[in-house]
Amino acid sequence: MNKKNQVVAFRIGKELFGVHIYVVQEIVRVPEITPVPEMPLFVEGVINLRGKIVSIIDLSKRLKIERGQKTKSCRILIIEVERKIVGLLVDAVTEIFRLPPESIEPAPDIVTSVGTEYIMGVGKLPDKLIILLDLKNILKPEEIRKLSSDERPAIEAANVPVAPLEAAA
Amino acid sequence: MHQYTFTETELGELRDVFFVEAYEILQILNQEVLSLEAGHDRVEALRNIQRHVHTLKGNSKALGFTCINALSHKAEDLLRTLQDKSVEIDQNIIDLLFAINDVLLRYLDDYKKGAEATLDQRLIERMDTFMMISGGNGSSGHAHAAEPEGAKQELKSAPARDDAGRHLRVESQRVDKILNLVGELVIGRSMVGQALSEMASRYRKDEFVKRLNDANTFMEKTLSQLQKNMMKIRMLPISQVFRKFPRVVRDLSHEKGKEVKLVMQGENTELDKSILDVIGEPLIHLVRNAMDHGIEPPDERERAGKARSGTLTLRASHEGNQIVIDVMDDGRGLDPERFKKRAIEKGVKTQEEADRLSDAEALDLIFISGFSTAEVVTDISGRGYGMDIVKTTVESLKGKIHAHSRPGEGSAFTLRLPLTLAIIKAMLFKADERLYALPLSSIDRITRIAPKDVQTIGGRNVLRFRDKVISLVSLRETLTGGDDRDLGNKKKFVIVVGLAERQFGFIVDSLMGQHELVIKSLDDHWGAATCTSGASILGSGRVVLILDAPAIIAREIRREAGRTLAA
Repeated sequence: MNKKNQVVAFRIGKELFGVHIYVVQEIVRVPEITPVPEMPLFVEGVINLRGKIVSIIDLSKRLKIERGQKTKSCRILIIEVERKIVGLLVDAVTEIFRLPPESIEPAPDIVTSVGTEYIMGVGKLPDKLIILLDLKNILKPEEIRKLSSDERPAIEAANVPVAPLEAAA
Repeated sequence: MHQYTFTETELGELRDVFFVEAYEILQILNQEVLSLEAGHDRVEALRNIQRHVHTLKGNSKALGFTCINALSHKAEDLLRTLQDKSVEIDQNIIDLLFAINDVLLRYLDDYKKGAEATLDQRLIERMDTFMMISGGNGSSGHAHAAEPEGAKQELKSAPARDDAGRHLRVESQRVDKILNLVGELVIGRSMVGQALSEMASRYRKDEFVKRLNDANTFMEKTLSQLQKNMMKIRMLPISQVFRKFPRVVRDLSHEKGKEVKLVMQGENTELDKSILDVIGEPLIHLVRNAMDHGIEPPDERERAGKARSGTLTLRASHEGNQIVIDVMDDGRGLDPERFKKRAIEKGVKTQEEADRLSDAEALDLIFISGFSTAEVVTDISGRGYGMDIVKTTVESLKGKIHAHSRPGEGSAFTLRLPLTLAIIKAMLFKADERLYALPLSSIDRITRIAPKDVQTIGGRNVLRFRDKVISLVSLRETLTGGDDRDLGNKKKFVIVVGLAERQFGFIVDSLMGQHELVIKSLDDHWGAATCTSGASILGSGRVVLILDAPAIIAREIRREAGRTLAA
């Protein structure tokens, strides 16, 4: 089958999202995730992907939407964006289907739970709508820096008064 | 004749090769001038100098580095006048030769940066004056053209090419790539090992398991040999750094009016290129420090009943998995009592704290920023690059530095460095349900504690250990922002690490033993992980974070200061 218009659909909470198949390298079960201190809250940690260390991002935290319980259906989408390999933690990967360009509409004005800047478009299927995510934008470092300080672990806030080292030594 | 024009890439490669060779040539020139000064075989030294200057002249011309070309051309003229044995080789000419070398080096640096260099007219005049006095021929264009063809041919070959048949010059990145793959294999080895031992316990009597085990043992053996040999490729003799020192010591002794004999031992000791690249600066500083504060002026030495000329020894050797570099002098030595006094004056220590310090600890005060016992901060040693930076640099290489001294007899600085940075020995432990590793190089010692051993001073937990106070750090609090002052009832371990003159103890739940870890870097796309220096994958496939002890402590000190400010 032609890969061109294929979309990987996944679920976070009650909502259905999709990304183009060409950014997805593979879909894996959730292995043990090692948390990394000092990272923004949406960075779950790192995993060992066949000898490579890959950062895992919790998309629900990144997009500020509610997610379901961690269950056995949770998956990690290993994606490549801007030549960086990253894992996305989602509640479930539901299906892979063809989505012809004519059934994709630009981000609607109707209220969605996700900011329009992160949406590439909305795919219309006979029985449901699927939000196509703009991963490039979601994972941009500049976008991430925009996040307010309360997105960072408390430790960063406690760190603010910086006194010279010598003073304490 | 057909004129071939180089492409941009080819030109770039040519330049790279030129710079590598040119820097080597200048090093050799330095050595030859030194041997000329020491009164060794004049003809031989001059011939070598001439040959190298000639190579430099030709190569620089091809690449359009006009200043290098012009100066080396002039230098050739000057050298020709020296061939006349009636011209005496005095301090003047030696200084001039060194000056030429220095200016050439400056040009090289400029051209390498892509900047333009301007010809040093004063130096050219100095050379002209010398040649006039010695009766040489100042304008040499003709003399040069008359050079016999055969001589030219002979001059063209520089020693860098002499052993071209035996040596390969390979881009270090290529070697790094292979080394990385070997690192992956090491991880693979421990994965196979882990699986095999599980299999062996499940099918204990199966013949097949035994065969697999044998095959694995064979593979492991080969792999560790492969690893060792790969490491060796990146290893270079420390002489590459050491050979700078004769010149440094010579210049400094002239400047300071001191007589110093430089002894170098173990120049063939090899260490990883990445370490070699950074170790030069700290060593030069230690040498300067010894020349400046250690070795006394000749008269003072004589009064103390010592030889007028002091001895500075640089010694490198291997000790297990480490390289040890000693910088020793037989000068006046370091005085722990004076260090303590100074620490009190500077407000670094209270009287009481200073009294508690052992001599060795007092000497280590020298590594604190802004701490210098020299009465006068001189141009040489007091120039920004302090002992604190020496220590920081050594620690960034996962090494350690210590000072030893006997007042009146001399002092020594000992550096201990790992042979390589790609694979480290680390202690694995669990804290707050998580697995971490700390490089063995940053661990001072490990002790067991019971809750009753812990005291609270000023709101923080401390441990008294042999009349020393160790501030306890809860990794949970520092790393994950959780609030945990409660040590619980269980016995725990404390991993003691030192930073500057303070000691900190990380509270850990259990120790998991020592492991060799292949360091992998962490993604810094979403935020800098300052408390971790990387991660590694264990045989079980688990990811373990390698903690950066100095960074955690620095952070802890900042937090402490923040609390005091807030209070």
